[in-house]
Amino acid sequence: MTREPNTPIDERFVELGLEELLGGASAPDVSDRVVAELARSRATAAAKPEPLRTSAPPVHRVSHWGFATGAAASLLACWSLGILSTASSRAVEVAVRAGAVAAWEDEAWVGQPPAGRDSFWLNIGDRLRSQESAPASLEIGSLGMLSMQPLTTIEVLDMRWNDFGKGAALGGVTVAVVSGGLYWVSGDVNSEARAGDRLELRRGNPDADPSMMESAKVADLRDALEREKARVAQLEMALSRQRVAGETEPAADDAGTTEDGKPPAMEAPFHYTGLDDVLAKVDWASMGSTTHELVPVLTELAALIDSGEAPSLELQSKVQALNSKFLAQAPVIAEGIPGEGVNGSFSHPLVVANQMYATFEAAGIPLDNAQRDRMQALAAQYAGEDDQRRAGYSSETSKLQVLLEEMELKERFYAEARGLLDADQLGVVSHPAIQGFTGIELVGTGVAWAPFTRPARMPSLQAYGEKLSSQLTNNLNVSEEQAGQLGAIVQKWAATYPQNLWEMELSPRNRQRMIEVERVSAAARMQLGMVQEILGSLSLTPKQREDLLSLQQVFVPMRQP
Amino acid sequence: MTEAPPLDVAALVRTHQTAIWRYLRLLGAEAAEAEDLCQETFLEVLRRPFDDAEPRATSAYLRRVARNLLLKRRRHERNKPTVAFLDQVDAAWQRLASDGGEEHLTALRACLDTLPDRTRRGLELRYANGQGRRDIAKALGMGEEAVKTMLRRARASLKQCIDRRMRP
Repeated sequence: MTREPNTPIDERFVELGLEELLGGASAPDVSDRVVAELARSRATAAAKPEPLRTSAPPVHRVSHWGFATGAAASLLACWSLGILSTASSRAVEVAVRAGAVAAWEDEAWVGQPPAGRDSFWLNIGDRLRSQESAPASLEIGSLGMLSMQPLTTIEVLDMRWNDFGKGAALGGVTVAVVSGGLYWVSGDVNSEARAGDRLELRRGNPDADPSMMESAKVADLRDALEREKARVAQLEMALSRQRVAGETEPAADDAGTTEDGKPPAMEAPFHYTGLDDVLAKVDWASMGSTTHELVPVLTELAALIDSGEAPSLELQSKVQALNSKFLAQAPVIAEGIPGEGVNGSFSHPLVVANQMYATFEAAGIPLDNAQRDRMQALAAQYAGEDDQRRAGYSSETSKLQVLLEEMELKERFYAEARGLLDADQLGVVSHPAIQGFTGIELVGTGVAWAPFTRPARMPSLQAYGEKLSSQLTNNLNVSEEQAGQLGAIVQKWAATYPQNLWEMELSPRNRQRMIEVERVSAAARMQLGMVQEILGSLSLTPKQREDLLSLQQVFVPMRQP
Repeated sequence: MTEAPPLDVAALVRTHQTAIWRYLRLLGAEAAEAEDLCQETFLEVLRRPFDDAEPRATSAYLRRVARNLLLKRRRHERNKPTVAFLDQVDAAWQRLASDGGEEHLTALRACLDTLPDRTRRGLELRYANGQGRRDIAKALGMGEEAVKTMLRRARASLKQCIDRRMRP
């Protein structure tokens, strides 16, 4: 809140008191964070006798599986409805709702994404296995929910696509059960299969679907969108495995070198202890030229969508091609830079500062020395804050809280960083037409929110609350008595959801899953309050508690016109 | 001689965190920054051997560290707090919040009840809803300048009321 300038100290005291009494501002409880950080520091000191201040910041490690899943959902790519794809590029997005699964790759089981945090792409021929200790629940595209018993292995035999007009919608996925057993639930379809069986996972009656899908039509459109995201993911995977040698971009494993094996021409000008090795491997010249090229293309795309016109295939292809240049850097950035998901790594203050620098170089309007010094200080300051923030979390911290606080920190960083730029520089990295929207904003939190945003259209907030309550009840597997309590909390959430956000008109962008960041962050804050109330009110089992704490998707209610 | 009991870090933090957070807010830190600095203050203090012998001494020490951390963060900024301002804050803190600010808040709560309804409504719109003068003026059917004057007088009146209540 902006305070009156030159307020005398006593009046300032009164103002702060009013913010506490009337505005609900309150001192945070940092005790858990302090205790955890001290314990971590002491453990580090015991293991490595170095000064704490100079120790490397915690680095987000992403498994091979995690990388593939993150990249699939990374950067842009949520809008490209019209691009036609070949059958071989068809894959379905799978979200892990509970438990964990591993994939069979290169003769080994790899990766176990934590429940509720990751999604990945499933292709024909893929094999998945659930853990020995717990069942796993997977949301298969928009088809329905697959529950795998512990140590169940399945293989994808076939996918059925229903072609329509400009694209195709997923009709079903046929799997073979190699070991264990599974259940399939989709609306009014409820099937069971055991080792030796084969089963088509097909969509049931959407009216009875417990997921957040409102209609089969929307589901079809989402499938088409997902298919295009799969195409991007496959391109990225191909790059990462060096199957596209000779193409214009370096392969993923070679992201740190040019084709002739020399280091990238542009070094990262902004540094931070612990991240410098990673930053040195990124091709900043490519990051800069891609950003410089992509911002006007996205601006044009946004204008077309706003006007109700279908973007040309040429324009969409251009976005995809430029986006793939970012993805070529993903193996390095996602592996070594902290952040929630791949886009979280890409939007880290140090990455963004260097990206902006490189973009201005490409545009011929470089930062001057004063701007450069200030940007270095800002990036380091926020990277330090980010380290402190991460070190303060415990296993009892909601993943949604982690995400929200990361975004709030980045919002502050972006605001200050933009303040350093002149009008020309600002226009190169952030056009007002694309600023503040998920899925299309490049230099801002829109890019980081996108993979976690789950917009859903409903006729009323009450109906939305009922759907959400039903979904949470099913996913957490709570008792009947607890379901009543949970339902009351969710309905309270629905009743207090800000009317101004709910009443916002559904725009053409919203229909392409480009959502206002303001709306997503408000929804996330509201959802976090609801999650915390559920945690505080219901007597949950450790498993239920873990599942709820791992929930990181942000449900954004949107009014169905 | 008996050995000193082990320091209960969580209890120590819970005892002092609200006061440190309020102190940082008074020094000009926004809520999120105050939270960060509050955490940093305890870490700074507790990473070294620390004897929590007397609450008032501990509180004063924590405030000193918090103040230094804020200054360190602001040292390159144009609007960094001046020494005179910091001294004024410390003096006001001694006078009004030596107990961490609880008595001041209690007095403020009581004083709010003495305000005319419209003034109280104006404060609620400002501090509870975060509305600007224009919106408050519209809601209360007043001019923007009148709202500015009303809010300023309300704060001054609250300050006087708090002074009366806290006078020994």
